Amino acid sequence: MNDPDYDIELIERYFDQDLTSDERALFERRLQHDEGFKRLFDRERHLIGAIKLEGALRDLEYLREIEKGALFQGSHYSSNNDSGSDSQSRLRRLIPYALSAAACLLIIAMAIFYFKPGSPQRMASKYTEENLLYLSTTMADGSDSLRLGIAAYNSSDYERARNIFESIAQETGSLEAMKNLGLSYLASGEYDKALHQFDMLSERDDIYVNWGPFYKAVTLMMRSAPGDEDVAKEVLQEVVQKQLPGHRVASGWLDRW
Amino acid sequence: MSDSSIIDLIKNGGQPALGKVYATYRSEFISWMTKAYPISEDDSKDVYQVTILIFYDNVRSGKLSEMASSIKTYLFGIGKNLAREHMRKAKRITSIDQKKWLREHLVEESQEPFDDNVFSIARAAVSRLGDPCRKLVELYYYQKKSMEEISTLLNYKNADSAKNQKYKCMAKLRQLYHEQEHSAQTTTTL
Repeated sequence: MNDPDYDIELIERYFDQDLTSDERALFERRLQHDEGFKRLFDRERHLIGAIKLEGALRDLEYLREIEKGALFQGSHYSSNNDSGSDSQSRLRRLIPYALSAAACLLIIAMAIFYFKPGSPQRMASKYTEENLLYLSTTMADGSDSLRLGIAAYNSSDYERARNIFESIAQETGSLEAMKNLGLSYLASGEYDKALHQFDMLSERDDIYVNWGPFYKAVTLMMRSAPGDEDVAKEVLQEVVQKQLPGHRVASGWLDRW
Repeated sequence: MSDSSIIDLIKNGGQPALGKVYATYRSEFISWMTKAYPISEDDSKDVYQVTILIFYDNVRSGKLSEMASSIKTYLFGIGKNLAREHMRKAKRITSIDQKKWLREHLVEESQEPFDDNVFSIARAAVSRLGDPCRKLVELYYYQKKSMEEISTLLNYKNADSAKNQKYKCMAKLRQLYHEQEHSAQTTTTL
C-alpha cells in the first residue's frame, strides 16, 4: 500500500536531485504506470514552477524599474542619456531616496533597541515564526475535526481554528486540541488565554510528551509583562532539568539569556 | 567587466548584481535588435528583460558552467530566438507577453507544458504563502541558493535547519494548494 507521506518525500528529493541513479531510474519507471504517483509529481512540478515564476516576475519588475530610471536616476542604469543633466536636478531626485534611507535606519535602530540580540522576546519570536506557524496534519489523531482545525490554523484563520479546537477539547478532552488551542491563542497574540491552556497542560502528569511547560515559557517570553521573564527562565530551567520537550532549545536560550 | 567576473557576480549576487548585468549589455542589445528585426525600441526592451532573466536562470542552474561563446553572443542568441518567435506567432501587431515567455522558457523549459488550471491554483497557493517560507522556497527553487547560503541569508542555525524548514514550508504550500483546489471546485459547483 502506498504511503502518501513517503511518496511526497521521495518526490521532493527527486526535485532536490537527492536520489541515487538507481532510485531515480525506479522513480521514473514508477511515473509511467502509477497514476496516483504521477498526479502527486505533477502537483509538485506545478508548485515549483509557480515559485520560479513568482521569483522571475519579481526580478522582471525590478528590471522595469531600472528601465524607467526610477531606481538609478542619474546613474548609468537610467534609460535616459543624462550627460546633459545638471547636478542640482540630480541632487533633488536623490532627496526622496535619502529620506527613505534615513527612515529605514531609524526603524532598524528602534528594532535593535527594542529587540536586543539575545532578548527573550526576540528569541521566542524567532522560534514561533520558524516552528509554530504551521501544524503538521500527520500529527492529527485521525479526527476530521482536528484536521479542519489544523487547516484553519495553517491558513492563519486563528479565530476559526480556536473555535474548532475549543469545541473538540470541551467534548473529548483531547490533549492535542488543548495544545493547538493554546498555540492558536499564542499565534493571534492572546497570551493570557494561551498561558491558561499551557498551564492546564503543564499540570497533567499523564502525558508522556508534554510541550505545555516549554510553550508556557515561550508565551511568557512573548508577552514580556513585568516579571514574565523571570518566570519564563524558571520554567525553562525545569524543562532542561527534566529533559522535557523543547529542552535543547531551552538550554540554548538559557545560555544566551 | 570580464565574462568570468559577470558569471561570478550572477552566482553570488542578488538583484543589484542583476541590475549591473542588465546595464552592461543593454544599449548594444537594443540597438542591434531594432536594426535586425521589425521591432520597436519598447518591444526590444521587453525582449531584453526576458533574455537577461533566462540567461540569469541558466547560469544559476549550472547550465552555463562553461561558456562556449561570449556572454554577448549568448544573449544575442536568446534574443534572436525570442524575436523570431514573436514575429512567427503574432498574426497582428500585439504587445510582447513577457509573463508567457518567462513561463515557457524559464519555468516549463523542455518539460511537458503545464496545465493552465493546475498552474493557476499553484500560483494562488504560492501567493498565500507568507514569509519566511515564501522567501526560503524562492531562494532555493528560483535563485538556486544552497542550504548553506540560505541558512546564512535567513539566519538559520545551519544548513540542516534550513533544509528542515524548507520541508515544512513545502508541506504548508501543498496544504494551501489543497485548500485552493477545494475552493475552486466549490466555486465551480455553486
